[in-house]
Amino acid sequence: MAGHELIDRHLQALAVRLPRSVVEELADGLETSYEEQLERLGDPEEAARAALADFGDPDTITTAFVRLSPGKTTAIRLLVIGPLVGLSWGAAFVTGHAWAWSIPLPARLAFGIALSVAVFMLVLAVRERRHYQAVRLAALGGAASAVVLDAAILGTVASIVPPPSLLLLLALTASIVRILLVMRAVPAMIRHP
Amino acid sequence: MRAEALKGHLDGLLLAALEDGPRHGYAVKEALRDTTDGRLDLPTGTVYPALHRLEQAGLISGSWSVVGGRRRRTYELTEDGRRSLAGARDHWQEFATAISTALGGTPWPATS
Repeated sequence: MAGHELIDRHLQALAVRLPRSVVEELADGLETSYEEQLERLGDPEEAARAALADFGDPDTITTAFVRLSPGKTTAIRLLVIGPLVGLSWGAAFVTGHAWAWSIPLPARLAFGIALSVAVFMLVLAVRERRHYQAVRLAALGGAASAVVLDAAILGTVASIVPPPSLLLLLALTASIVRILLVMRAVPAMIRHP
Repeated sequence: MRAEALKGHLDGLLLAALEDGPRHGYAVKEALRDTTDGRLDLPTGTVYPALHRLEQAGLISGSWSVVGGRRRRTYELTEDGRRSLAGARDHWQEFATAISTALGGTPWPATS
């Protein structure tokens, strides 16, 4: 860490919210700034204050990084396409008289719970602005729940084999597209930064 | 100069600061300040998220090294970044010419 407690405290505040590699990069910039200010001003306290004033507050910096995170981007995309996927399945179910399908009550309940969890996690990932790791975990949870939902519904349709229709084809396509979107986004969410 | 005035131009400015060779985040900020005689002095902390955004867009690439016992991330322009910088320059020239003409009081062509 740097040679002044004010700098250390600032970096610790960032370390709680951001990934280690990002904090290491920020630490290098802040410490370089502190060293330059120390050379210019001569007084460690003044130099630390000047470097921190020039650096910016932790809230602004963490908000900017969280906004860029792959988890946030994925959660926004899933929340945007979620209602479209839901509507396409709704239309397919209504026209296919899905209420007559023999789906056990526990399966229906599990589906409702998974849907609620997915929406809750994705909304959490979109709304959280200060904690990178929380956004990442919430987005991963929401994305995984969305895939489970799509896989369950695809499996149900495959086992029941309802009469084919354009709306059913549209809904199947929507679910497959969503699964592919999640599969494409997950590696970046796990790896980044 | 206020940060709002830079909206839409920050990416081009950061790419320009990397045109002469690889730089780390603080050096990018210093280069911007020095080349503008201190008129563009961005908060250090705001430069880093912008650099990460450019890296995600494939316009710059970053690599780690150790300097003075500290881990340092240095960025350099990619080919896409060079093309984007050239585009930003062209766009700025057009924009600046149009605004200068408008603000300079150049008369509109006569309509009669």
